[in-house]
Amino acid sequence: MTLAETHEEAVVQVSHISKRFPGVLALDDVTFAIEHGEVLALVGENGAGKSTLVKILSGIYRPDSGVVSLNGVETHLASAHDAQMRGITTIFQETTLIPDFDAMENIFLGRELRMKLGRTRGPFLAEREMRDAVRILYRDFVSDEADLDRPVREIGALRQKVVEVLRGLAFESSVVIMDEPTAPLSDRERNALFVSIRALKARGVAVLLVTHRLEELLEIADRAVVLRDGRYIASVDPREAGIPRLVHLMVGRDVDSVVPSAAMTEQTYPEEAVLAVNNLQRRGVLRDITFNLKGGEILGVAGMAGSGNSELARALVGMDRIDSGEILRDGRPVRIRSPKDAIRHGIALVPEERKTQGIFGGLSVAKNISAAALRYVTRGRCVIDERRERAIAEDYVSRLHIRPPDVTREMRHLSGGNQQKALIARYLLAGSQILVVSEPTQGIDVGAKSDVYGLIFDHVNSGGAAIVVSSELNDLTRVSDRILVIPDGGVAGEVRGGRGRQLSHGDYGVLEEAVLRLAVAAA
Amino acid sequence: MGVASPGFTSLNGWYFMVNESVFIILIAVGMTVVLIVGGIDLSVGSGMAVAAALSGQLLLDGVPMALVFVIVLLVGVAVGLVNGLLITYVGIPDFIATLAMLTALRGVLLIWTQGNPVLGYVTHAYGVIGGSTKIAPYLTVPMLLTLAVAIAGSVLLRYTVLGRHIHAVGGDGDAAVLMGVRAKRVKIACYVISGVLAALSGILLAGYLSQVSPGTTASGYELMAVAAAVLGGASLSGGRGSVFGACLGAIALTVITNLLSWWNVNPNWSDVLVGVLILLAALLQRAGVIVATRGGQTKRPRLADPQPVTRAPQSV
Repeated sequence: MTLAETHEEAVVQVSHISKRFPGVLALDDVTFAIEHGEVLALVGENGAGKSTLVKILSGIYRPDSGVVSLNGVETHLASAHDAQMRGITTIFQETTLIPDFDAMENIFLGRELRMKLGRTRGPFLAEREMRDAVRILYRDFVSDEADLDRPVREIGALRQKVVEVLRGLAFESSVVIMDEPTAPLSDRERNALFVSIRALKARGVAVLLVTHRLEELLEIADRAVVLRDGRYIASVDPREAGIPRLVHLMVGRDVDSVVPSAAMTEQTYPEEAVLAVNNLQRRGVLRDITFNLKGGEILGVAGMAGSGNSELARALVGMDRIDSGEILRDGRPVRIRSPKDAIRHGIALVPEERKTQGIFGGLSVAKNISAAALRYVTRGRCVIDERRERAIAEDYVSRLHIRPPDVTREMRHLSGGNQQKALIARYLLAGSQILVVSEPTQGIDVGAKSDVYGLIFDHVNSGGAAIVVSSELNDLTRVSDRILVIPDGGVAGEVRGGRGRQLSHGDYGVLEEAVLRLAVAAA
Repeated sequence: MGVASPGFTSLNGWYFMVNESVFIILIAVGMTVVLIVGGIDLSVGSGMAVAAALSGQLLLDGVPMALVFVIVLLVGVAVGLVNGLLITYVGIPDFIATLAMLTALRGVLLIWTQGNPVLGYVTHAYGVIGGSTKIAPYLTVPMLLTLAVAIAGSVLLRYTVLGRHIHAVGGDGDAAVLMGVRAKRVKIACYVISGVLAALSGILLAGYLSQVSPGTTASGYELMAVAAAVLGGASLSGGRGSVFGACLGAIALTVITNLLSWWNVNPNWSDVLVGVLILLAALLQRAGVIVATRGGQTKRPRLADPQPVTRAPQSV
């Protein structure tokens, strides 16, 4: 931080902001400023704290410490409504519009113009005023009014983004925050969006652009602030710095390896792939994905949030329909149309959304572990033998070091890491040879992280195989034999991972950079 | 159908059916508002009964009629407020909170009256207000009030900021909050509207019936109101509904019931028919044939290929 960044004319001044979530310090004493009329890019790896910062500036999270000042005035942003009223408009990563509403209704939502009623404004909508205003906005920025009156559900991803941008233009916004606005857009559409961003800038509106597509910065950003592990790292001119330097700033760190030493043993693989995927397609999400997985192997899948990697995991186990493509199990084509089919073929997904897709919070650990393999704990295929269920669960709990070692405890009382272990136990019990693990270490602490990877290693060392889908590159380069890079729904390339090789921290840095480059180049 | 039915050949029959429908229409309007915001208010039947009994009893106790109505309407506000607060701030699901209110209010009523009917309170003036006495040929006070409420409800939903926010919260509550809508307040307002309309309907019903039975008066009306709103195009998943449609739905329910009884069909069959109609309405809605839009009219959805607006759950 320099003195220049703290002078009081900054439209937004973030000072010493910290925010902690259970088990993770998401933001650690972050200070920087957004100046009037600048396009400021916020970059960093997944988990660097960008989204948390966006949510604080949008009034959704409150910081644990530190202050936000708007135009030099210390401000407490109490809610999304509050932030909006103070001139901060946020375009969230996920499209945030009311599907049934048309452009005007969405643009003015929460800040509707009201008809004059005597000297004040009453409860009635000034429909015509708002329509006229939107029409003018459209004329100025979109240059046609085609979809003005249609519900936004019908108008396509770009037009939806445009509507969100116009929300920032329709008011006296002083800052428009855009969290990954280009993710759903094609190149041409992205350029159209950049035109809107320049229009905002021309009006003196500051834009905070969160993006992982670094080449975009060269095009549009005046300045880039780099966050890493929740900390402010640097503020640079992206054109001056160039992509390699930005990548280095984002990644370049010395971290303790969370990968157990078991990873370091040399592996030999059988010739036959236990799983082969050919030309897998899911319209609009996945295209032409081909890879294979051998027994004893860990295949990493890297990509940024929303790039299709967790969708790949879902498609592999039949949670999402695939449009075309072939899945071979031990060389034989199989049809997987539901998770039940997948489990029957020995493929199990340990899902990303542990709380909503994985655990049964109100059931005991034992019942959670037996859930996918009730046939082992039933008598006569229908009556559950609770004693046997508990015995089997106790075996897993002690082998996997699940804490506390009490199988009757309700699952929701366990920590995230122990829940994750119990979930893995569930699919091991179900006899799954191939574990598809999606974001395995999301929201769990470092110790549990190491345990979870340890389990995955034990599994592959005893003849299983695993696909690890993760946006944490740091871990992924260490645990994987190979890393498939899927930046936007298609395979951009493959990088050899660090598992089973003796590599230095520097080497891992090189691996990470290689993965990031592939991701960036394709996006 | 070839069978002459007095209800359809005489103005008198229509008058009778419409006059029967108004009590349901009033709560169906409130129900529509609540359904659009994405909730459901099961407490309205008991709310009506409490309002009716309270009106009768206060009049018996000599409280001036205008004051009685004010008090009872305020009780309606309070019931709606409690429902709304339980749902938004305590976080109890809409269905459960209002189901609890439904049961509790009926229980309170039975305890308070010891199960005895409230009667002997009706004056000529109250009879006029309740609609048992006409003010002009084929015209009663409840009809006029109901018309006014239906128009006010349509205007609220179509032309006011609150109405727009109700649709937004019901359409996508999380998105609405992120866009700066104070969703909790909006939801509470909807339950208050529903509570007040239930109280109003109860006041009128007491004048119409001239006696209130704590155990049975207005019992099951909440489901009639849901049925009317759904027949009128409201969606139980929120965001859609039409006051005008709900009015037609309520009248249709009354007409069907009366028609079958004129034809001497076992009344239990009319319940079956109503059930089938509700299912049919829901199916048609799902197929996209009936879609109540914010204009209040129904329309066929456009044949453009829809682009879903997707949003992943907010992660912390």
